[in-house]
Amino acid sequence: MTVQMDRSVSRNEDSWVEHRPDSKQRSTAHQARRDGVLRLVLGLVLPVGMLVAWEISARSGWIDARFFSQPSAVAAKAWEDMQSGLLWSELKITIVRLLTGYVVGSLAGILIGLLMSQVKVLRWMLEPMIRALYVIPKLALLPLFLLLFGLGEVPKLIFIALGTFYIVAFTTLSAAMMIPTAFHEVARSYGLSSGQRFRWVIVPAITPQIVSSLKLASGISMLLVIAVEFVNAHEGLGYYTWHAWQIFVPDRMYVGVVTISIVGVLFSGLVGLLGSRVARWADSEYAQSR
Amino acid sequence: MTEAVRSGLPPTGDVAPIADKIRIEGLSYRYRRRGREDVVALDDVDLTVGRGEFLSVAGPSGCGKSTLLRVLAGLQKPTAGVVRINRERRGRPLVAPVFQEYSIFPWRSVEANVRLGLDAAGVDRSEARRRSQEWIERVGLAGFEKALPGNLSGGMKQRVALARAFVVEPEILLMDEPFAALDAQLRKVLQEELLAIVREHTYTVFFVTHNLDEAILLSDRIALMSARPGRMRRIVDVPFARPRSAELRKDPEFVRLEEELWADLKGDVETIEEVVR
Repeated sequence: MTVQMDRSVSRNEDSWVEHRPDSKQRSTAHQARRDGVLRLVLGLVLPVGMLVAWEISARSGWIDARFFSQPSAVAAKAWEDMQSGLLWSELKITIVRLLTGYVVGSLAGILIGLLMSQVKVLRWMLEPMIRALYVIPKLALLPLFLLLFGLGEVPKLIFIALGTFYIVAFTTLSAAMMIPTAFHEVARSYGLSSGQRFRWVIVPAITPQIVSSLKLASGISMLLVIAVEFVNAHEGLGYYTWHAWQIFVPDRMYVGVVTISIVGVLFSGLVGLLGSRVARWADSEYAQSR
Repeated sequence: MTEAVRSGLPPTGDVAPIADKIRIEGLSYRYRRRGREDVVALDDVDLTVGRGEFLSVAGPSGCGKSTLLRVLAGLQKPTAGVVRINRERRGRPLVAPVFQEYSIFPWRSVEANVRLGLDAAGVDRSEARRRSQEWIERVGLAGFEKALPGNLSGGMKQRVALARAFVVEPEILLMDEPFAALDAQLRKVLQEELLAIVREHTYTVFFVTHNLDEAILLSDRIALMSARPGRMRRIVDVPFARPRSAELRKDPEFVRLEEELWADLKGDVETIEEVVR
């Protein structure tokens, strides 16, 4: 009963809610540095832990090292293939394919996307087809490609370029169609010629979306390079990995997987870095809530 | 209705005639909608704006005042009637608009935004820089030349839009509620700035607003419109001499005029509410 009484009293009691500075305040730079370190450490906990667990499990015989290998053996294999130059030559071939297909696909995508956005006839003619083909996973088209273009180098490049092309062309088209009317009206009112409107309004307005589509496409094109090399190649990182699996050299297979991941991460990172330089205005426009 | 419009026209004959700058005759604008009745935004509007005159168009929302401005700007073609604009000299832009939303380009710096019309006209770079710099300082943005609009406040963005219009030295300024999105204080500051600018340079200004106080303070004449369909209701001469200052708001005649105009508009606003109900 007394408890009941106390509660009702405290409910009616008038009180102050206080907001004060934190007791220990750090400078923002200091705080950012601490956060950075913490982020790095936390990000490493899982991968490093898994590597250690893997090594321990293999050594103590909990898993079969013949099938699953172990980090130390994989590292030794990587070193061996680097020494012999095998890994480097495979890496070079994959990177050349990746870059060629990606650059060709991106440029074609930006060009066709822009043309479609500006020329109505072209848009009405191409958009339904591009839309229809957009939803098909590009990987499903690989057999058709082999049938159409045979086994040479060009069909591989076309295949990779096509995967990039779709994303970039589609994004460019939508971005160019969604430029606010107000911007077009300003262009008209202040007497911009069509060339000036293209350079000063359309291109800068859609650059941020093109950059994000290029980032997205960088991942997809990496996937497609490896897929093509798995199925239809006699060199390249995909072939290196797939072949290692076929002749059962698990160590090398893991070297392949890790190398592919590193290339993928570096490639996306590079595209992102270049992209953020091109579309700097978007940072101040959109990123204030970050 | 026509009577009222005529009586508002600048007097001719005994006083020296003011040359006409804009003549709007029998202007109609219909928004076509598929399967439904057209929306008549403007119905048989007649209006004349004199050279160097500051004319405000006021009225309830939906009275077609923005449509009228867009037709003048050449952004929309009238469905009926004609708009004639007198061009005094070539090589100077005829109209420059300031819109109610911030239509400045976020990818251009303040300076590059202000320079837009000069760049488009192919004005020499150093000349363009000098002229835009002048206006950037005039609207109080000195020091922000290299800033991107994303880092500016709403009021600063609208100043950029003003400078962009002024720098091309158009024969006619078209302003579509340029201060509507600003807070009350900033609105007053920019109104006074506009008043000062118009005092220095003689522009013909076509100013759309729903704010009567603003219209009286700034204009020589006010065209009141009624809504649905948008028609010219009445044209009122603002009797105050120039130069004016914000002090004018305290003048009893100012207050009386505002009340009179408001009484006139209020009827219209109420009618609309009934229609909505």
